[in-house]
Amino acid sequence: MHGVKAVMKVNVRCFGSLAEKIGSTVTASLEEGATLRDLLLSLGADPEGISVLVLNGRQVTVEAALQDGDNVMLVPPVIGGYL
Amino acid sequence: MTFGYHDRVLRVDLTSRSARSEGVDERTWRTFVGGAGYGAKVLLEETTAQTDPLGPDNPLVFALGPYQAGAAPGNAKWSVVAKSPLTGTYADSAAGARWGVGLKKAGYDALIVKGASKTPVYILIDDERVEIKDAAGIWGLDSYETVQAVKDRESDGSLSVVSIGPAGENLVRIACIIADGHSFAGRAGLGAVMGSKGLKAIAVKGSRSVEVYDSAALKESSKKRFSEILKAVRENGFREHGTPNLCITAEAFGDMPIKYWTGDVWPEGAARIGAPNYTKVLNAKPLPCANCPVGCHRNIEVKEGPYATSGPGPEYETLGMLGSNLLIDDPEAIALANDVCNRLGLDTISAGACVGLAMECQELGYLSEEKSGLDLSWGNADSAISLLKDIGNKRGFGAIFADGALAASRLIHPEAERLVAHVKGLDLPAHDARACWSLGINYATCTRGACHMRGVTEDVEMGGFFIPEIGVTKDWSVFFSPEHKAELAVKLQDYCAFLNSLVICAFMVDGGELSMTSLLDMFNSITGWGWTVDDVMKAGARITNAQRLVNLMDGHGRHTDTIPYKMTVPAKEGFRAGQAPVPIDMYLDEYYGLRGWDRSGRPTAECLRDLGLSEYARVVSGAPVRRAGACTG
Repeated sequence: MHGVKAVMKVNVRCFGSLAEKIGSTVTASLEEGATLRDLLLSLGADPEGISVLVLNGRQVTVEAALQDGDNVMLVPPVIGGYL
Repeated sequence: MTFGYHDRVLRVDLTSRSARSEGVDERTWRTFVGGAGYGAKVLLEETTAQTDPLGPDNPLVFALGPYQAGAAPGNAKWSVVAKSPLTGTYADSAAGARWGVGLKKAGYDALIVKGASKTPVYILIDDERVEIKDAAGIWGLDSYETVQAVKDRESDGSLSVVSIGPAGENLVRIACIIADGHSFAGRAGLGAVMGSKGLKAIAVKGSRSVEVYDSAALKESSKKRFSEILKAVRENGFREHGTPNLCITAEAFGDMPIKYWTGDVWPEGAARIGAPNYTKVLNAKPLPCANCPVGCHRNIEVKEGPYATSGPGPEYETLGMLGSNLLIDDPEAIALANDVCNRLGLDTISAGACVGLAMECQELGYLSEEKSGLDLSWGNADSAISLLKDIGNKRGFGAIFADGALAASRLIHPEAERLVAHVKGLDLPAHDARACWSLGINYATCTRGACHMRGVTEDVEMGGFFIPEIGVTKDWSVFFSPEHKAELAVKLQDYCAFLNSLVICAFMVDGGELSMTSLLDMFNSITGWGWTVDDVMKAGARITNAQRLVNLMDGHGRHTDTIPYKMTVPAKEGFRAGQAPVPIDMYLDEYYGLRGWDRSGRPTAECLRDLGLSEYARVVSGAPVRRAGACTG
């Protein structure tokens, strides 16, 4: 990935329009010390275009550091229901 | 003459079978804007705590706003306001299609229907021509058939028609009002109010234009905003998939109702009933209202099999309440259940709550198959459809739900009332307040009972809707924290009160990304009032407070500003596992304080004076107050 040796794997689940662009579930390989921003760039997603980032069940920012085996949820802007 | 308004409303009395037009001055519009705001004014002035929601004195107010004056995006909306037979107090509901634009073209800003006809009637409004006509032969038809029957009888296919189905005729308190067989004013049982007046349908058409302050500017900005909204909804999938696009995401966040709010996760089911599978299986296409770039409604078709159907398809709310809520994962079966509700004229949210309650009661041993005559096991779609038919037709075991889930629970089993997920008698929509904590305070305080669309706070929390003009930014998109939640509810309730009085479809701003600044530009092009953001928010606060005064007059208050017990139970698994929402009482004082209300939830004299509502202070200070029905949780 970008010529960098991959040393950890992260499980990614995408929603909404992101799922159509990236896939519903993806396993990404990243080098140690990578952040969510690195993950998003590696997937071709705009780090500023994600509304909710969830790392192992907790809401985080794009600067959150990743570890091998982490589970990530990526959610684009979501709108509500019906009158 | 007020730009954007005709300055007149039409009053129809069905007891005396008379109609007259009544002038309205600019001060009224500057105070209440229109739509839901104008309806609140009518209820404040023309009802008391003793007004029976299903009696002839309950005014049924169909109200428009200045936004219907031009071809602006999302202007097909109309509001209907009355005392709800489900909550006993203020309620508004809204729908689209073409009807609101038709009433405005006929030359009216609102239609107020009072009285009751001894025999079924429909109203025809064609400019100055207003007629109350015999509905014999139409009464008894379903809501879709009624539209065509009225058009046929009038030999006029250009009419736009709102109707009720058999549920409204039968005074089922979860009955809705349907526009052109296309869009539904679903909530709070206002279809039963229409039925109580013997009113089957209202047909409109007209040729009158409304003068606006700057038509060139409005035309230019409307065109530009239409394109911007269309671009946004194409990019975010809203145009292609409609609200079913939410299902998978909502389930992942624990937002979707599962097993009548007792389940935590259901990912496989959500994937089956939500988009993109929904779009593929149901052959779904956008079904836009007039002047709408979003097209959130779906037109679906199931060509064959036991659930063959076609027409308006289920929305997210219906997929939630008739799908995941009942553990029914077949989109075709949900589509037919939706069609049954649509034709009978049942609110699919409350109908789903009724069926969910029945299924939970059977599971707990509170309700036997012998008593219901149905196998109400979770996921049994055929039984659900059968029960829905009986609820709408008020027959057999289904008749027990004629007054809604809360009333039915008291008839089913002594322990069943605690199972009912409602606020002030209105069943929760398909959004879980344990996932988005802002929903808790929003549900508890919403003036029509549990409603997400009179605040849309969850969309801020889930990161899809921000209003930087009033400080609601991405920083407020935080789960499982009480921070900002009361303030968020106040701000968004007030903004939504303005939107529902304007009257604009909320999906233009939430989903369509129409900014408050752009909306304000169009508003000022219509009215010429030069309003600022502060003016908008103050109008919204005034309207919310007016609605609250009706609530208080009718006996609601802090004791009914609650959330149901189920919304306090932490999940065992999924995204919100172990998260226990902050007790609602902890938010209430903050919320009341932000509003300028006292600790009992009543606006202070100073608050009412600041909002220009002092003349209504007597409603809460002098009127006898009866206590509203008991509330769980």
